[in-house]
Amino acid sequence: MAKERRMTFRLGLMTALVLVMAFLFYADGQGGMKGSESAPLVGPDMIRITADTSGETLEMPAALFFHDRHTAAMTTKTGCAECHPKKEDGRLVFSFKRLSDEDSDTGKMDKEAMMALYHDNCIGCHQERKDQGKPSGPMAPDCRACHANGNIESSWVEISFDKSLHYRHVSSKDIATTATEDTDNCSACHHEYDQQAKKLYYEKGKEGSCQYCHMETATDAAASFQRASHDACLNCHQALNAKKVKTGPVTCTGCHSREKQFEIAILDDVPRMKRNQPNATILATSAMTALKNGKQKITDVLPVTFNHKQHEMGVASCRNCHHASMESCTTCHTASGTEKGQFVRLEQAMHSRQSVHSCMGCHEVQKNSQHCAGCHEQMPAKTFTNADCSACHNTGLDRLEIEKGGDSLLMNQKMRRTMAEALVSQRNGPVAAIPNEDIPESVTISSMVDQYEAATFPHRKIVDRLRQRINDSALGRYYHKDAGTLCAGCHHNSASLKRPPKCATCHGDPFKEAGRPGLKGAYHLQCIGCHQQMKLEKPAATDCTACHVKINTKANQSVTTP
Amino acid sequence: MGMNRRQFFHWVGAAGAGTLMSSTARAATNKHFKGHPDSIGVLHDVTRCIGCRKCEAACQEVNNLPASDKSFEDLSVLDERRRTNERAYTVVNRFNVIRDEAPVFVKRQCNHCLEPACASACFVKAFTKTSSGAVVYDASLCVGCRYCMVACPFNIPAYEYNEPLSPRIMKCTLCYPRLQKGLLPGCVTACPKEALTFGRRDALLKEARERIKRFPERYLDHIYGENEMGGTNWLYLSGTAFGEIGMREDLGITSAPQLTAGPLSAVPVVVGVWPLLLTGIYAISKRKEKIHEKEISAAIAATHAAGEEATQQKLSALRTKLEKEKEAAIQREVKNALEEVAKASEEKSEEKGEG
Repeated sequence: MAKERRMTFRLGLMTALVLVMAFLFYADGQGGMKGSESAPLVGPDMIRITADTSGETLEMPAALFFHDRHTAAMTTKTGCAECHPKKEDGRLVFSFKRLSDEDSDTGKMDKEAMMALYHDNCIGCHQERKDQGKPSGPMAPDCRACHANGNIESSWVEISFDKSLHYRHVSSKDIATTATEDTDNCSACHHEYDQQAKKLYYEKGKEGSCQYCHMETATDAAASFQRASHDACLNCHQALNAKKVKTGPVTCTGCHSREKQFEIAILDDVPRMKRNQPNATILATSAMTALKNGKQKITDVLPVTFNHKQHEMGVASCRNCHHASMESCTTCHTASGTEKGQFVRLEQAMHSRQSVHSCMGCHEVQKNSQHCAGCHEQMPAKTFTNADCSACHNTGLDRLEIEKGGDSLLMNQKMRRTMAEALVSQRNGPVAAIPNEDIPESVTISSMVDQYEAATFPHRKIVDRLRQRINDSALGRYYHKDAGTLCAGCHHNSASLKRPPKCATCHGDPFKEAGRPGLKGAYHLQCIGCHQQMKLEKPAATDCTACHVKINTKANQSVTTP
Repeated sequence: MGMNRRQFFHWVGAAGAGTLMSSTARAATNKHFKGHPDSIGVLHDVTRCIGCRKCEAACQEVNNLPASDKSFEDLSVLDERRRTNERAYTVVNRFNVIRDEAPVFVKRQCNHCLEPACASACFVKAFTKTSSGAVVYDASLCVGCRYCMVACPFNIPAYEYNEPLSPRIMKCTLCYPRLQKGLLPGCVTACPKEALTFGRRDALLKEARERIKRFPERYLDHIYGENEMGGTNWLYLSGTAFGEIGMREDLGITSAPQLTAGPLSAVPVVVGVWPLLLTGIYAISKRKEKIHEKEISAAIAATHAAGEEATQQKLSALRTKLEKEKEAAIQREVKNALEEVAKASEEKSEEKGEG
């Protein structure tokens, strides 16, 4: 009997070994096969309520709170005040059932206290409603109803307070302002902070973006941007709502859902903001530094005439360029960089293609617009070394002039602005036109007649349209001054020639040379590529006969011809 | 089946000097199979595809595939997501990645893996990875097990289920017959936008890298097929995450044969060692059984022997007893008979006396 048992044991061991081996091989093969699942999206009103535990694992995951559902359920006269207490001045505090901002803002509230606050009030209210027979929420035993596990993502999106939205607030007759001299509602939102008196006050001409002071997290001097913006926007909207005046949203979804944001009207014609900004100026940091130093009057970099007014029109808000403060760029970005400017040198601040705040970075982004992308999408990314400096560094002042008489001219802000305005005023003409006789009216593309008949390309019409688009844009006008620049959109290597070579001169059979499309590819890439980028609905990219007439002989339909 | 050397050079000439000009220095490594040298491939630039289905039409024509129900000019078929089937070696699918933005079109066909899963799964060698790069199929060897269909990570091979007598596996051949004639694959020839670039695989990789470098905003910095499943001869460039355009991102960079090499290497162990082992175990247990049996029979024999003696003794005792009894009985009978005889003679004499 004992022997038999030993045998069974051995056989069992063997089987187990085999199973383990098989599992290991299987697991090895399956190791990389796990699919990723994206988190489900819920509405933008989801708030995660949890205590800041600085690394300590809590017993329960964050409670998911859907704010707008609760707003919709509020039928009592107290409204928001049901959950959000009022300060002495009658303004609501957008924390739950507590006045002290600091605790919740930094998330440093004691976890026990926080748990008690939320459990008592949430569950208490739910219970009360249930007792009254009203629809209610989860109660004490349903922990997981609020403390839901899993990675649930909110569809929350930031709202951009752009020029248009800004002007709607500026022009509103309903916004109450504090300062009497203020006719544009500025003082209703913009303020300075008096450190000593611990008071807010308004100072005309010092308005800046909220986020200059109200950062992502609270600082000693200012509340977080989230708190400051909700405090300012919602309290005002609430007050106007109470007066039955048409005003902005008061729910999460109203501002933070993409769909709702599309519903916000965008004004096309927004007047300039009034903050004493120049129409134009000359950026001459290098020259001015040289002049100030006196001893060594050498200008490394030629000045740039900057059309400030034009740029205001092109951007969504001041923050596009003045990203951290309203001061001039050189305050932080000096020639060699400062700690304040995170050691981003002036050159980088102006030329970085990675930053949307820099000149070249933003221009790069502009090229993606449908008016520009037709040509520009097909052009390889430029590197700094093959950029043309004189496209911007072109005040007309040469080094000697600056070094000789620049003192009076550049050191005076007023003079700089006057000179810049004069230079800018010369710019705004349309792009140089090429005489019509130099632009063929139409071009017949017949070098590849096979399945289709030759295509007729309305060359002049297209040139005219493109020129029109360029003339419609100040940026376009500025960078397409030379007549040949526009031509380079298609004649990419020979724009300067009056009679550029045919496409077929360089493009022939495909795949002969790395990176060079064959003739068929070159035509279609350029024509269809441009049409798609410019979002031209007709002709559709797949509608062959819109450009070609199909040859209907069977023999020609074959693709076997090499 | 193999490609004729002359034919090979013939199309290399057609494929052009450009693709051949690339460096001839090849990394000397024997650790990792990087595909047959000089093998060709196709680079599918997804950002260029417009979904015109010209490639599908050309594929059907050059491969003499049965005509599809709908015309190739009917783009409504793009509304549904399709896969390759026994009547279409290649299909184009549309993906609306971002709402209201231009859709992305992706062509699907056999990717011609450097180390194909189908070929490794096929136990009759119906699939061959040719040195040209094409993975070709020989219907005459196929037994119709369809393991290749299970094995393919890209879901490509299709089966002629409707063919009762001689069903075949159907999949793109990279137009191997055309390559041998010095012609380009049908789809490549037909593509109007050169979304399909034909060339040597190593040259295509360079070309793809160059495109990424020149247009960093247009492309993701990833060449699909460079390493996926150990690398494929069909390569892809895209501006959208490959996972969002129906391409698996969970394949890893290990080729199918390598993945299966582990479990398969256990087969000889199982096949070779296990019979020995089991026979050994069997033999040992048999031997033990034998010994055991012997011992038992010895014990029985001993018991028998001991028992026999006793029985014999009993028997002999019995026998003696019986004999004694028998003797006694005989003697008794004899005595009785004698007595009877004596009695009878007495009676006779008495009768005589009286009489």
